[in-house]
Amino acid sequence: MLRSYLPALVFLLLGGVVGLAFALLNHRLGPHRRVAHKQDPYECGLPSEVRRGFRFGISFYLVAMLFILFDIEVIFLYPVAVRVRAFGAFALYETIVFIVLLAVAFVYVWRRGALEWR
Amino acid sequence: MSVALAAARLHGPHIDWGGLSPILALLGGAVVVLLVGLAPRREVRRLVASGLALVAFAAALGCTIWQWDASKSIVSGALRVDDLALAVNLILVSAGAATVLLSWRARASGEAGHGEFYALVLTSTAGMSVLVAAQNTVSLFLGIELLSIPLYVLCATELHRSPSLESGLKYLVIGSVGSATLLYGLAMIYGATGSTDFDAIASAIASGGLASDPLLLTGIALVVVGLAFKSSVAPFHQWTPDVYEGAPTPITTFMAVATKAAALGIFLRFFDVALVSAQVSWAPALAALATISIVVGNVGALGQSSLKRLLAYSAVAQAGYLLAGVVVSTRAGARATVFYLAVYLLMNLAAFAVVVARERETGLGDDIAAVEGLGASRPWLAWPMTIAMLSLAGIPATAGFVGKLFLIQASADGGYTWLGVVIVVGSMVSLAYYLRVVAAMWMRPGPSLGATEAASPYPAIAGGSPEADPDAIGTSTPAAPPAGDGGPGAGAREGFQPEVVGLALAAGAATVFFGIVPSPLVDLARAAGNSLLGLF
Amino acid sequence: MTATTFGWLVLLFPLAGTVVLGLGWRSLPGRSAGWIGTAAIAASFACAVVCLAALQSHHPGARQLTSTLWDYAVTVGVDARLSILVDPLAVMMILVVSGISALIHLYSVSYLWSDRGYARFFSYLNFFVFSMLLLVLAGNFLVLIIGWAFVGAASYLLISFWYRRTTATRAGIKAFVINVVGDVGLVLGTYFILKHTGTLDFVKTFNAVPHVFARDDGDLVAGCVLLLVGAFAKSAQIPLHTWLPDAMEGPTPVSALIHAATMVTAGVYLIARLHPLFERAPAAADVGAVIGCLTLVVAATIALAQTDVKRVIAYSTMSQIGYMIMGVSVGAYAAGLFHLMTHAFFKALLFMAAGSLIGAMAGEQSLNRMGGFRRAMPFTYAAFVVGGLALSGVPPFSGFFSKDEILLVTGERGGWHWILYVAGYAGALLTAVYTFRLIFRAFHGEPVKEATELEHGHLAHADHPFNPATGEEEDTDVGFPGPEHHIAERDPPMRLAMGVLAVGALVAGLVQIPKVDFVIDHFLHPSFADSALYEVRTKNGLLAVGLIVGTALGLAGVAIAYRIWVTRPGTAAAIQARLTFVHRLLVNKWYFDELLDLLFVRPGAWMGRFAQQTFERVVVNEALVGGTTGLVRAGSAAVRAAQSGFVRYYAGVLVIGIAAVSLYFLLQS
Repeated sequence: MLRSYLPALVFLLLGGVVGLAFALLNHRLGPHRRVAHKQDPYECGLPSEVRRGFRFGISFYLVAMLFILFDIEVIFLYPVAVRVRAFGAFALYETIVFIVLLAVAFVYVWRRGALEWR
Repeated sequence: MSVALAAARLHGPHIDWGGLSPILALLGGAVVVLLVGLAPRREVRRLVASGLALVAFAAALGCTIWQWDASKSIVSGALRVDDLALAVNLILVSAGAATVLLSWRARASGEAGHGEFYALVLTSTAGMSVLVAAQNTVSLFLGIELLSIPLYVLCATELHRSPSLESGLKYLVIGSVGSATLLYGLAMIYGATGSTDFDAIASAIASGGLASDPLLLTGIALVVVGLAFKSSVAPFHQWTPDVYEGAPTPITTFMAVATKAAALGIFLRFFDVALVSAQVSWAPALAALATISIVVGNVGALGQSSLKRLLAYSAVAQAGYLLAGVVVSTRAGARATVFYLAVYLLMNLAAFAVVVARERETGLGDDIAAVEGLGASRPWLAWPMTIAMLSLAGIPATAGFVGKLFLIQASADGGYTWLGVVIVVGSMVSLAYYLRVVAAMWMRPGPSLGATEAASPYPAIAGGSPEADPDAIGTSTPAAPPAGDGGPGAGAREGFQPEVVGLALAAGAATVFFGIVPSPLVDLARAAGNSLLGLF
Repeated sequence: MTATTFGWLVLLFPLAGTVVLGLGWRSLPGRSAGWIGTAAIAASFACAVVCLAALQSHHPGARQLTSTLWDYAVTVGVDARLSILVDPLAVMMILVVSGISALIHLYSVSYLWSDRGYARFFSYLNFFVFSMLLLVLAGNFLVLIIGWAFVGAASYLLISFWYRRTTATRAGIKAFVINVVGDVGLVLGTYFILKHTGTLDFVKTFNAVPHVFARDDGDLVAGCVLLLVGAFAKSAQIPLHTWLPDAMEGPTPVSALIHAATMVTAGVYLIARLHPLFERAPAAADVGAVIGCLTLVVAATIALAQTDVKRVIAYSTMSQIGYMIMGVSVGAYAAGLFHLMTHAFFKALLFMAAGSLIGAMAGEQSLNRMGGFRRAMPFTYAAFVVGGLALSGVPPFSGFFSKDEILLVTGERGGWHWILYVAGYAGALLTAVYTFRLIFRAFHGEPVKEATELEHGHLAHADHPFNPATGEEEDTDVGFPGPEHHIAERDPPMRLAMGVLAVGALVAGLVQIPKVDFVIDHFLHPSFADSALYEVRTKNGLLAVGLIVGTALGLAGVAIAYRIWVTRPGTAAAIQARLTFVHRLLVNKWYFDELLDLLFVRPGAWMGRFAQQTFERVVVNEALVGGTTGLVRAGSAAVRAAQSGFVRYYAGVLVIGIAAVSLYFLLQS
């Protein structure tokens, strides 16, 4: 019974060992130079305007979340598009229902003012 | 065109609209109610949203009754529509409709937005419907999540009251742990049996000799915990008192009644269908949990002064009683559980409706002081509460008595006589706190609330003889001053609330009615029990 | 509409009356409460009559109709249904119960008028009648037990109706306690039967009895004796009779109701109803016959020496019920029930007349203070004489036919039943003597002050409201007997009720005259079709002897009473002086109260004291209760302590719980 899990165990062990080994090697072999820019959130590009205590506005999360939601919902349309010939009209109805539901959600979100930046 | 349609029909999967109709009614209602919530005028939102929610519940009720006596699998075996699912559905939908009535004047629905509030109630009910009809582990989990997530939000709908927010957050955190546990258990069961379908799991266990497989048993253990969490069985009950107390009372009612019914429904189906061949392994554990629940619930309720906390602990104890019907894994047990669930709905609706009414009338919140002297001042509220308390304690001539009788009988028949004894002892202990509420209503003078507490024309009939003891009448209600504009601390005062009082009276009357004429409910429960084909 | 529908209606009306009066007592004006109550019972009686007609339209073999309103709990081993059984026996009972009760309600409309608990009284009264109707219509043991218990509860409510009066509450409690003893007997007896037959339904039980029980089967005899305990308690048979005389504390219509219609006949009905059981267990039936005979003699002797008007009549009831119990126990079902019917007429009449008399005496009940009311109250006097003659068994009054019928069947059983036969006739003589002692002392002789004043149209008033049992003063809030309370035979409703009953007492016996007609025999036959002892009497046998002896004894008793209390007024005192011991024995009611006190009450009280002072204080309070409440408190505290409100703790407990459950399941593998 437990034997069947042996490969998994070996995998976990090996994975851990390899990961640790590389981290250690990096730490041991790499050069260590302390420069002020190394402490910045971003090492490249423009100097950050953001302080440590900065908090994102709630609207940011809201819009981000809504974006992800609608984004993922739309992805569901792809498999249907691929197999649309096999299912024929049924797939069409199904998609319409799906989009109507999405539209309801969209109308709701819009009307409730979730898309307005405050 | 018609040729095309016929061809399309050939291609498309078969959809049993009838079987799906209760869930569709609820979800369709949710969508519409959500949109109504966008209406510009507040009164329109309030009236139309709650009205449409009621219509949706009524439609779901109608569809459930229409489908009665069906026995079929729908959505390619994901859901099963049979009398068990439909009977529990009746309970769920009634609870949902009652919640709408109780929320009619609630602060919560106003603060959170009427559309959202009622849509969430509808969605949660739909999740419960999915759950009790679940025929494979995936739909089981889907149902659990669909019922839980709206509830997390609903608990926090009194946005300006921190206990409400706290309860929502607590429920979310601990509920997630419970869901995760359940999911983990389901995954293990899938791993052990290679199937998500309940029947396939059952046959895999029976034919593969898996009854002592550690993977399967660990999976069962985690599922037990996950479901015990949802039905607030001790020791996984600890969120219950806090969440019940903090949540808006209509939502507490909904959680107490509907969630419990759904969780017990899936308990019955999952354990008595999928895991029925492993009964020897899980029954003692469930029996132990039932016992712990009865003890912890009844003992915990003793010292409570908040009615909602008291009812929460009582819910823990009642969950223990209900589990007894699952433990024995017989048709009689399933019948007893379904019967008790229906009775439980009535008793708790009566009790919570009175709590809701008093909360709004007195401004004392859900403290037991809110019902003191109710017998003299508001007999129409005191009677349902009294009936509910007596029925919860299992006094004869109430439906609670008949329900407990069936549960005890089922336990004894199923070889768990000691569990029946535990139920009896638990009921005896429970009398202590149920009667405390009754005593507070009938034997204490009411709190001096001033204007809104007009003396009732009907004093208590019991005790003494009013015609000869004029001084015995109305000692508790000194001549009330004529109605003015609220007394001191009249924050949450509401006047007459016909829908709440009516609900309390109807539920109380039904509790007594089914205590005397249990046969309609017995028929319902019998049909539900008989739909579990694997049992005898 | 079938017969059973009317059976349900018979139950519905009194129940509706109870509810209406119970809820609306505050807002019912004037006498409307009384009229509503009376109308409810009258409607019930009308339905009973229609029910009779509907039943008679059936073929005689098909006159046992069962109707189930709903199932309460029908599972393996138990079939608890709300069902009624309508058959000739039940119909006869509902006719008697509702008919007599309707007249008593009518009487009470006036009698209780000045009482402050007027509506309450009628609410209780309707409930009492409802309970009794439920009892006699019961189609199974469960409903029977419910009716049985309701009757006990209703009797408690009514006996202690004047609840400020200590003697009344005490009598109510006594009646209730003894009735509960009977209830326990009934329930246990039912269990003995149910254990073997597996059904609560009467008809099914009767069909099953010959198959599951051997003759004089141990369990059957035990069950029947326990059922008899129930019957004795309700029907006030020795040794469970002591509540009945005390129950005179209730208002007089209540006494009439208890004695004539609703309560004490329940035992007779029970034995008749369950005759297939008793015939299969003759040993138990013999117990019933002997106790019935004993009661009839003992009660008759006690009645000779009592001085309270109502108590004399109460003991006469005991005695007459003794006849009935004896009758139905020896197989004289038709005769026993016939006597039940005639007795209902004349006993209700006697109580109503006594109520009139007591009213005229302003609440005084002692015979020692009465006398010469003959001219002041001719109507009451006539009623008393008619009732008394019927009770004494003087032809052609109703009691004559029914009582002789019982004794006739008893005698024809032969063997040791001869003892019962002779004792029955001895009792008949005593009955005539004490009945006419009552009449002669109250109505003949020198008129007392109240009587002379009444002749001039003045009603007596009590100066102070007082308790007739103890003589002590009491407050008037409980109503009667208040100072403004006037009653007499002047009130039309009371006169009407008494008149109807007097006619009944006169002619009710004519329905079954030996060798002439057999109405009762034929009517009841379908209910007793399975009985070996039931027969429609056509042969002569002891008939002639019985008729002659019965007539002679009845007349002789009246003559003796006349001689002792009218022609030679000193005789009674002389006899008392000579037979001091016997007199004291009778005045003290054969010391039954003291005996029960010694045997049960005192040991019970002693054990109670022991239990309270020693056992409870030491063992229960300190060890058990202290321990248990301590445990529960500690548990409650522990549960509350665990309920800290912090999610992290909850998660911790959750994890521990998961671990424990998982561990259990892993140990299983």
